[in-house]
Amino acid sequence: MIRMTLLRLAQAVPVLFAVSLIAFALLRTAPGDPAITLAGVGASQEQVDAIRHELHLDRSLPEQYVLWLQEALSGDLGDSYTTRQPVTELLADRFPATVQLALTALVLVIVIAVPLGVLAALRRGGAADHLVRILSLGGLAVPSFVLGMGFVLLFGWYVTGVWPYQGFVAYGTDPVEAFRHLLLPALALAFPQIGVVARTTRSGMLDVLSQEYITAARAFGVPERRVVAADALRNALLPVVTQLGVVTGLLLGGSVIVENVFGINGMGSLLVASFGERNYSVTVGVMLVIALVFVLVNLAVDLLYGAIDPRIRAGYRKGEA
Amino acid sequence: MIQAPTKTTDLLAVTGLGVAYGDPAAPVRAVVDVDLTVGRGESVGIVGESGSGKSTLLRALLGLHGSGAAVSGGIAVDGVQLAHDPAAMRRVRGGTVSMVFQDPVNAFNPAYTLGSQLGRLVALHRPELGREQRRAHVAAMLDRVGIPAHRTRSHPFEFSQGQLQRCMIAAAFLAGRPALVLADEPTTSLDVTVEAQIVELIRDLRAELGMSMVLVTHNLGLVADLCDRVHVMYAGRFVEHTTIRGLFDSPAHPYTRALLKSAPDLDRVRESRGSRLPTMRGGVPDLAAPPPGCPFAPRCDEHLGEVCDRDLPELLPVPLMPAARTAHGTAPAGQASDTLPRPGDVRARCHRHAASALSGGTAVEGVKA
Ligand SMILES: Nc1ncnc2c1ncn2[C@@H]1O[C@H](COP(=O)(O)OP(=O)(O)OP(=O)(O)O)[C@@H](O)[C@H]1O
Ligand code: SF4
Ligand SMILES: [Mg+2]
Repeated sequence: MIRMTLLRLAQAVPVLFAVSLIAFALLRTAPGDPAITLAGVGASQEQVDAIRHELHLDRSLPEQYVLWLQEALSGDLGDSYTTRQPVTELLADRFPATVQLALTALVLVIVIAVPLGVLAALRRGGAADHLVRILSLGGLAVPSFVLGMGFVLLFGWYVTGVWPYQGFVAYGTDPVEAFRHLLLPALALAFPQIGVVARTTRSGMLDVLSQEYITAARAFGVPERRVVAADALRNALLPVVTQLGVVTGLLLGGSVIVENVFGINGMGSLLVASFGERNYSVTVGVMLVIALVFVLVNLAVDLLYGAIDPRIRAGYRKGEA
Repeated sequence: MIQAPTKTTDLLAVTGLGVAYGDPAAPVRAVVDVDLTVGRGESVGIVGESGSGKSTLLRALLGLHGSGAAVSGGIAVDGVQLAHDPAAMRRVRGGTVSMVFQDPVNAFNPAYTLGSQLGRLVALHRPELGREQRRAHVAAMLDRVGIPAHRTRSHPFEFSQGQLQRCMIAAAFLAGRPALVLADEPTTSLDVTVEAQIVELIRDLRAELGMSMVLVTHNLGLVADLCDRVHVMYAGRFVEHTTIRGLFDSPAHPYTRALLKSAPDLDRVRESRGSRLPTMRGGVPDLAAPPPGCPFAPRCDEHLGEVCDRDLPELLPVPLMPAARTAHGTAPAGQASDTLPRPGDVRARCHRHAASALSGGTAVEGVKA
């Protein structure tokens, strides 16, 4: 397991390297001169040149990249073009809200979709099966921001004072209020994914339930509940885990808009705002963080995979990875 | 628990069993009107071509047919009727009646170690054992089938097919205390040398523990090796019932004779064990729309004409037949499977026998080696 983790981490390095290249290219090809933007209106040529030197903009592009990467690795992503605040500080400020929103949405997806998919597989054509079909169609038809605006309208206009529909409270501050505040945005964010994950769970379960080892477990007298929970579900979860990795990415992406709908000061709203202001150092910072999170999510998926499927663990032991 | 068995009841008594797949309006009748009894300590073989309904029959005995199959008829174990009592059916599974699956690679859960899979069966069927005793029992089970005890921590994919089939046999024969083991082609997935070892193992375990067995196979050698009596199955029905010697020396049904045509005689079958059922002209009839008369009629070399195409023959006792293929002398004494059929042992589903039974004459003249 340790070997597997290290290998996986090592494999993430090239990915992160590629992301850094793209981020840097974006930063340097974006329209406008960052030095002029930073210096502000009415700055003298000397001031602009000083900033240009400070940003290494007077060097060649490869040199600029190396210097930029060095600084990024030491935790310096530059300053915001507008507020002059260090980008890392801004990110640290906004990161928790996004993570807590996405995680809440992820938990909602899991606790709703997985049991629903299992029930749908156990009773084909039953109520749960129909619900799964409706949810997967509904998820396609109703994007997160539409559902989110519906929630805001409902609780902000029609039934006011019942449920918070704006703002963010951290779980660390007040877990109950945090959950209350995050429930609507997380639900809006999770909704399109629930049908998808439920369907994957359902087809995974159906596939596994038709396997000979399920019949064998029954033949050997294993009670049906345990056949479903221990024998079938564990194997059916493999495709679900893979998909949850993708879903986590989609949830993070979806939070960009949902945060704006629900007035949450997270990475998403930071990204939208910075892009609008051509505040590219911040935009790139957000991108880098999201890329890093992606890599970590994928690592988590792989580790979970190994935990579920012994063949994968064995593959790493033998170095077949 | 099952009531104390009375001497008079058979361990397994199946009556009029039918299994139909699919649309009830146009069912695929995979098993039709099967009667089967198995006494204590007895081993009964079921042979037939692929698609004749052998696996369907065996699985239905434990209620393992899927929700798409309709089962009718009676299944009694130790005198307790299980056919329409799912709870009673579940109680015998794995404990009183267990099963050896054809393909051991797919019959174990890939996600769990062998030890945990066997351990949980022991926990289910020997609840009196504590944790340590359970572990010891699993180790002893594996040891008995020739797998080193430390392999309990390995996963199924870390074993060979033959090893896994040994584990499967441990699970079926030793986890509980089965009175009956159902075996569906237990050696088909194995190569010939491994097959011989597995046959040996099954025979030894039965000799040691005395359980009954129903063995389903294509392989006549396996039947000769492991069974006392045999049913020949064709298109979902039993078409002949006989002893092992009877099967090889004086097969009664034209289908059985066709099966044996290219198969060597009993003694050579025993030595080689490799003989699968030969392929024969034509195929098994469409089980959704079987022909009105004898299901074997389109392929039968001994066809009697109109009566065969029109009327389904019944399974009737066959008068004792001359042993046509006993040229090789008597096999070792003391094996039940070597006894010649006695009057009443042999039954066949063929108009030829109905005719000869009515006329009171001896059996069919057409038994040519
Ligand atoms: N789940 C199912 N649904 C529909 N038809 C089935 C199903 N399982 C088996 N059958 C049909 O029932 C018939 C008997 O199949 P079965 O598997 O019992 O034969 P078999 O004698 O065991 O053959 P083999 O020697 O190939 O294992 C076949 O025609 C098969 O197509
Ligand atoms: S009943 Fe007729 S067709 Fe059928 S096996 Fe006997 S002889 Fe052949
Ligand atoms: Mg079969």
